[in-house]
Formats: sequence, structure tokens, C-alpha cells
Amino acid sequence: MKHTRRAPRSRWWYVLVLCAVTGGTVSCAATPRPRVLGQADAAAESPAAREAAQLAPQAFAHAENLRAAAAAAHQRSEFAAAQILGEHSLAAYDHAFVLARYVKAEQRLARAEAALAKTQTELAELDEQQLRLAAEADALELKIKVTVDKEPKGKLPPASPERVRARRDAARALTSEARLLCLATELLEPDREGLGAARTTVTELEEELAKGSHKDELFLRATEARTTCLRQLTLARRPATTKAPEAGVTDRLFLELTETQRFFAFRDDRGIVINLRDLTAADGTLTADAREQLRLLGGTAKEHSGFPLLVVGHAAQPKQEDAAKAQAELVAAALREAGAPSVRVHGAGTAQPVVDGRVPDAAARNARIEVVFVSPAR
Amino acid sequence: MRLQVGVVLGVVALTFAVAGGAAVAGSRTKAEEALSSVKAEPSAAAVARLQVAKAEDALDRARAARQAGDATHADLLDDLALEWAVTAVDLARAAELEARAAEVEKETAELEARAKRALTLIEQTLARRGKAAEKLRALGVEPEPLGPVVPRAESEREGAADAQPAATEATP
Repeated sequence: MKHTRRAPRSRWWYVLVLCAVTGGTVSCAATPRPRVLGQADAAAESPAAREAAQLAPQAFAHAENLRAAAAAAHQRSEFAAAQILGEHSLAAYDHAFVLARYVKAEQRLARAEAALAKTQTELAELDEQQLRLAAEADALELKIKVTVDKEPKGKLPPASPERVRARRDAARALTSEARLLCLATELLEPDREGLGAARTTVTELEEELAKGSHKDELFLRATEARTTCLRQLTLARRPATTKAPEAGVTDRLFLELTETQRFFAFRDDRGIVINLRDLTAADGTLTADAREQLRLLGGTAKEHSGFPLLVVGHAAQPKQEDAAKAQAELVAAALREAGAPSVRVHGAGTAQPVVDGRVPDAAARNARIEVVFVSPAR
Repeated sequence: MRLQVGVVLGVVALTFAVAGGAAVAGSRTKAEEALSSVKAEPSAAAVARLQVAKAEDALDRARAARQAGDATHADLLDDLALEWAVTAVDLARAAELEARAAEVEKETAELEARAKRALTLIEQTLARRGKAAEKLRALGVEPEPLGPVVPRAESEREGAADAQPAATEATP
């Protein structure tokens, strides 16, 4: 029997085998998954993705396709392509989210615009309704005044000297109010029938009061004169009040004047009233602040040409009556210069004090210039 | 014959090369145009600065890849840049729309407050009218028939404008 001896394998042979095994293992191991693919998967599962799938379906599908393409590239061991496609899918998801946000913004805007249109319509209806109701209430109140005035009035009971003076002051104030109401009527409808008679009554009263008459009946006559002038004013306003396009003009002007935050405006039977004080400097000229205020008011009167202006000078003391009237003229000139188309001046003297003359700061408060925007409608 | 086949193949190859180049140039050009439009508007640039930065980064990487002779990946990076640029444009549009909606909502709220005040005024005037009518009756005068009053229910106002338009997808 013949024994053949195998030649011993060299060390190099073992090294070669080891290298082959190691190389094979390394080459067969899976390529690591790019992190961006995990981020894309997370984006696809997020709540924003569910919203985007609903609101921006095309953009969302585009992102899904890119994510699938990235995964496929990774499967083919195309590492660089998988990385870029993964990034692209992330960008596409972001785009889909943005488009969903755009659609939601569109819906929000449409809802807001619909709500705005509805509110505008409602507000117009409310304005119209308010105007009608106010006109009806005014008419009823006027009817009450007329009815009450028609009732025969007995003589007033004898009174103390203080009472007599108070009645005289009240008669002066009522006569002055009657004068201003008749002037407001004249500004709106100069040729109004019945206005002339009302004016004559007021003039007679003014003359009697100027003579220092203390007759009791003056108070009752002054009340009647005021009612008559108010009635004339209400009747002069009636066509404008019933005319639809004029709806809410006084409210709008009142709001506009209030919003300037420069004036304290209030309303009375004549229209919108603004009291101005401390208008002149020591030399009798208008101060810079006064000029600015009058420029604003004149500009407003120009824009609301349907509202003629009545400028009334009120004095604190009888000796200041002429000065108050002169200041009212100065104010009227500044208003005209600022564009006010129709301005009338009247000196009311001391007939309409704001506070009793015995109050400490009465003089400062009673001396004033009233700028009245005579309302063409109620 | 061989020459003819060679010429045809050459023309086909050239056509594909030109078409491919045009497509790449298309993505890059579109991306650059979109970025310019966003950057021209400061408010849009501020809103979409992240998307703009990413688009510019992708364009830089595409340029580098093309210089290195890697045209395939350069094309992919141009597409990526375009995606970010278009996202930036749409984000700016969405933000603008949201701002407009907020403005309209504010205006509506102001008008609603005015309507509330008007309603209060109507109630006061209604009471005044009723009081005057009663007083006139007490004086023995029957007032003329008064106009109707249309009350407006608050609930009706609160449920207003709930109808939503159909969702539409904006196209980039």
C-alpha cells in the first residue's frame, strides 16, 4: 500500500481564504438607510400630512411618489440618488403642507368676506329702521307739545321776588332758544311759510325783555314761541327725513366729529353742537390751536355741505356781550376761510348760561362760542 | 449604409442631449426666477427664508455636481431646488391671504360692534316712541298707526356665514 503525503498548505493560502471571507461579508452587508428617508416617513405620518392629503391631494401624491422613488433607489444601492430623492420628498411634503395652509386661508377669507357683507347689510337696515323710528318718535313728541300748548293756561300764582327773577331768566333763556331754533330753520328753508310770524313773536319778546319787563305772562309766551320755532324746524326737516338717501347723515357726522378726539360734541334740537372756549390771545386774535380747530371744523362743514353752521357767541357778563359777538364773527370768518359753505352768526348775550353765575368758575364756563352743525334731518 | 446608421444615431443622441439639457436648464431657471420673485418682496422673503435658503443650497450643490461631471445627480438637485423655490412662493402667498383674512375679520368685528350699538339705540328709540304714544293717548289724542318693527335675533347673527366654499387646491 502506497501512502502519499499531502504537501502542507502555506501560510499565504490561509491569509487568502480569510481575506476572501471578510471581503464577501462586507460586500454582502446592507447599505445603511439614509436618515432623510426616515424623516420623510415621519412627515408622511404626521397630522399635517393627513390634512394635506385632504386639502392638497395632488401635491401630497407627488410627495408620496418621491418618497417611494427614494426608497427604490436605496434598494438599488444608489445611495446618492436615494439621498437627493429623499430630500426632494421632504420638500414636496412641505409644499403640500403649505398648499393646505393656502386652501385653509382661502376658505377663511371667503367666510370673513361673507360675514362682512352680511353685517354691512344688517347695519344699513338697522340705520334705516332707527331713522324711521326716531322720526316717528319726534313726530309724536311734537304732537304732545302742540297738544299741551293748545290747552288754556291760567294765570301763574303770585310769586316771591326771587321767583319772579327766576321766571324772567327762564323767559330770556326760552326766548333765546326760540331765536336760535328759528335761525336754524331759516338756514334750512329761508322762505318757509309761518317762519316770519314766529320770528316776529320772538322779536317782540326780546324787546319786552330788553326793556326789563317782569310780566308773568312772558314766561308762558316764551314757552309758546320756542314750541312754534321748534315746530317750524321740524317741518323744514320733514322732506329730508323722509328721503331715503339722507338716512343717518347726522349720526355719521356726529361719529366723525367724535372720532377726531379734538371736540366734545353733543346733540340738541338744532343739530350737533360743539362748544369752543379760550379761542383768542391777549391781542384779540385767534390762537394757533383755535385756528387749527376751526380749520378742522370748516373742513368738516365743507365735506358735509348739507349742514349749515350757526355760530353763537355766549357772554358771561352783560358788558361782554359785544365782545362775544365779535369773537363769534371772528370764528365764522375762520370757518368760511376753511371752506364752510354756509355760516350764520348770532350773539346770544348772557341769556343761556351753562351754570349759575354764583358758581366759582361760572365766568369761564359761561363765556363760549357754540358752533352748531344744523341738522337737515332727524 | 454604415455611415447612414451612424448619422441617424448621432442625430438621435444629439436630440436627447439637447432635450435633456433644456429640461435641466428649465428646472434651474424656473427655480432661480421663483427665488428672485420671493426675494424682491421683503415680507415674502421674511416669511419663506427657510425655504429660500434650502433652494439656494440645492442650486449650489447642483452646480458643484455638474462641475464634477455628475449630470444625473445635478439634474435631481435642480429639481429639488425648484421644489423648495415653489414652496417659498406658495408660502408667501398663503401668508398674504391669511393677513387679508385677518383684516376682513377685524373690519367685520368693528361693524358688528356698531350693529350692536345701533340695536341698543333702536331699543331706546322704540321705548321713546311707545312712551310718547302712550302720553298722547293720555292727552286724549289717538296717535297715527306706527310702522312695524323688525326685531333682529342675536342668535341669527351669531350663526351667520357658516357656509364654507368647496376646497380648491392651489396650483404652484
